[in-house]
Amino acid sequence: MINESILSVTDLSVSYWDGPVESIVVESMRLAFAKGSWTAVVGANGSGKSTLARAMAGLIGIRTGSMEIATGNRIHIVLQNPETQLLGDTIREEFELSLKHRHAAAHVTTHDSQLLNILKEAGLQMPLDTPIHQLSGGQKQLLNIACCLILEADVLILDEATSMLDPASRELVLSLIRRLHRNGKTVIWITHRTEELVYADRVLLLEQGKIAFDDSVRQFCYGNTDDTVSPCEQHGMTLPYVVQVVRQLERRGLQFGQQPLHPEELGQAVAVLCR
Amino acid sequence: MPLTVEGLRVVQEASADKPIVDGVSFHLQDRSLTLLIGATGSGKTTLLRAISGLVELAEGKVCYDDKPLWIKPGKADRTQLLRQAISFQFPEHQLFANSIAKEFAYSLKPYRLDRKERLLRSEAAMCDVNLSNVSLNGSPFALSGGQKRRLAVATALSTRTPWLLLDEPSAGMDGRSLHQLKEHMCQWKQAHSIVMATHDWETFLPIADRVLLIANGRLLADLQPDALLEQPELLQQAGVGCPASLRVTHALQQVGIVSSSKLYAPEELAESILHAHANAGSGLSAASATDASWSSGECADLHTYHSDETSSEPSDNSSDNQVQRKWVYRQLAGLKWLMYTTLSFVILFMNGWWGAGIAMLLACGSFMLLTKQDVRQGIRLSRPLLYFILIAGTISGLRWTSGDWTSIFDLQEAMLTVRRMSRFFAITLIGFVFTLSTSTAEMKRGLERALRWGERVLPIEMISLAAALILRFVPLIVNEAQRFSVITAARGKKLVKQGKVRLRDVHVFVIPLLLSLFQMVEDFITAMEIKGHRPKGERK
Repeated sequence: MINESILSVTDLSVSYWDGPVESIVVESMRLAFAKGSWTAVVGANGSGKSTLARAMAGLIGIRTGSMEIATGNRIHIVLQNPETQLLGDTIREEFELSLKHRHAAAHVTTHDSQLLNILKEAGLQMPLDTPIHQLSGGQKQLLNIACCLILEADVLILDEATSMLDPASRELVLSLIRRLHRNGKTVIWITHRTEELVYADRVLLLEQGKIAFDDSVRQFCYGNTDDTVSPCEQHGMTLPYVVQVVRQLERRGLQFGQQPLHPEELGQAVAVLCR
Repeated sequence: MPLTVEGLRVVQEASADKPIVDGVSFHLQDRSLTLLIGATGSGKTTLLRAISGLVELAEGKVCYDDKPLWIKPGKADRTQLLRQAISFQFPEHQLFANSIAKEFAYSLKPYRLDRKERLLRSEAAMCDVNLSNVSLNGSPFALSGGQKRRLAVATALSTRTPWLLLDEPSAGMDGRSLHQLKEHMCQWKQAHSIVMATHDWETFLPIADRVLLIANGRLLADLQPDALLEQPELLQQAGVGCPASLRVTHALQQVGIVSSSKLYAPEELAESILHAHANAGSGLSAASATDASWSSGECADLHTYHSDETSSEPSDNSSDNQVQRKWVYRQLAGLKWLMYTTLSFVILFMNGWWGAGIAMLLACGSFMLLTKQDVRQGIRLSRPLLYFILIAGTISGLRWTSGDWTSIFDLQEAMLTVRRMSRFFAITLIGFVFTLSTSTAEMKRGLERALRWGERVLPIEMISLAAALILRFVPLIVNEAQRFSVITAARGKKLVKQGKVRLRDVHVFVIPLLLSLFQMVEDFITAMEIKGHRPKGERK
């Protein structure tokens, strides 16, 4: 079955004006995101990742092109800095501020139990009246994601949502996104860390506002069988740890049917080999 | 020149019983790279600042070359201060000058070098960070984000201090830049001893000589990088996450391939897997592999540990906020507005010293309604105003009568100014009470209610939220101001009390502060747009 695309952009260009000079940051991009897919977007600083994300979230104007969202679906974005995205003082207020505008017409009332459920789904087990300044950076990002959930987002764009967090908090956010992806959310995950790619199913590499690579994660990390360097290495990125181990094993004669990407897959694959 | 830290204890002014850093002792050798690893809020930054003489110690000693950094409380040895350079988190935020040369000139000023030497060092430092193709006359603001960061680090390098203290130099870097930084670090190690607080410790571990693990302000472990690989449980205790390599080890333990829990290098792990594979081929099958019940949550124990850790984070005012809010916090925003306006009018119509006195009493009285933490915040906010009034009073008291030196200062005139201004001061103080005791949403709701009449013609929602946010913005400005005052003090190598800036350093402080505030405003506007607060019809 060919997955229907939930979001597609055609000929998308975005530019910034610096005085009289126009610099094009995203250039004639054509992309489609399948429903329920997880796309990792990588690329050096200044390659246009954030601009693309913000354009897709409708936060900045576009120069040319068009964007199509499957009817009835919503896109929400979580940005890098956990400190400057929350406007309320308590979790309840934050939810209220998020909800108010969306349901302004329908006047949907939301019960505490519903709010608490969503909070719990996001991995935050705490009262609704918890002051936001008491949350850690990671918890704030979880709350930002919870706000997307409350607005029934179908597509979640995470623009380096983990880059300002410590490793423990990064894991919390990543495991929440894995959970949400399993439950059918479409994820667009912008990151610098190759270790965070391994759970995605597609890698989109941007270079100077253009798509330089667009294929599966496996292809990105391992390349074709006759390649000496994979696209990941070609673009100066560190290979994920699992891939490094598998590379060593392959060099020493072990063959894998399907090359593993993340720890769980490696464990399974090795168990099969040693049986 | 070794660095010795003994029984270090740092407390926050307000909560002396909860030290940020406590009982930390270590001894670091010359020309070494030491990693400071710990979760957010574990005290890494404070420890670095204590070593660099930017925060006062409650107890303990910091010695460079066996000579103490602090001569007596509140007074650090200047020559010792010149022995280290510190680079802060997001160092690119600290740039202020209109040319790169001036950035260097500022950082090098305390070292009293001649022009030629300054130029030489600036050029060398630019080379050290791969910016040799950038002209020293260019503006630092024309550089890209990554270049700005490297420039900021270069200004620290140019001081050629024996010790280099780096706070999260790799935060938010892309893979390639991270790799470059690692290479630079190997180079810098030749000339400096480096202490680096970092979350990217996996990258730097191979080139490090020493690891200090910090948890809850205490030194959890002080060991060689290799030793850390053997004891991954320490990472768990420090709450710094489960690196990919450890995750793999856990996954392989589950299927009985490896037995010891440690952080393997990829080659090493490949070796163990091959070994297991060979054994399996010769009939010695790993028994546990076949019946190993598979679970994908092999790091679950770590996760639960972390969530416990974060939820029990110290929060010094939970009791104030959660259990029962104080009276003034529970009142309606509109009512508070009304009271505030009335009080302001009353104060404005009062005359003479009596009036000023009553105004101040009212202001102080209303401060009593706040929680302890907010009172502190309020005092911090009002201090600059107080200075302003005193300065204004002094200036207005000055009399320029030629030849007559006896009447150079007119006390009466000065007091008159102070008295007049003190009423406004009182009004501002009460305003702080209002802002501190009212949350953004409450304020927004109150304003919305008040502005309801204009709903048809004005975007009331947006206006009221923006107004509420502006009021909430004040404390953020104060925090940012403190951050940049510390940076300014560090670059100028002058010990200034925390939160204060020398007059001649004002530009070093104000420009980055303003830039950072603009960024925050932009971020808030974006956040408002994300929440859907934008003019109608704009959204697609």
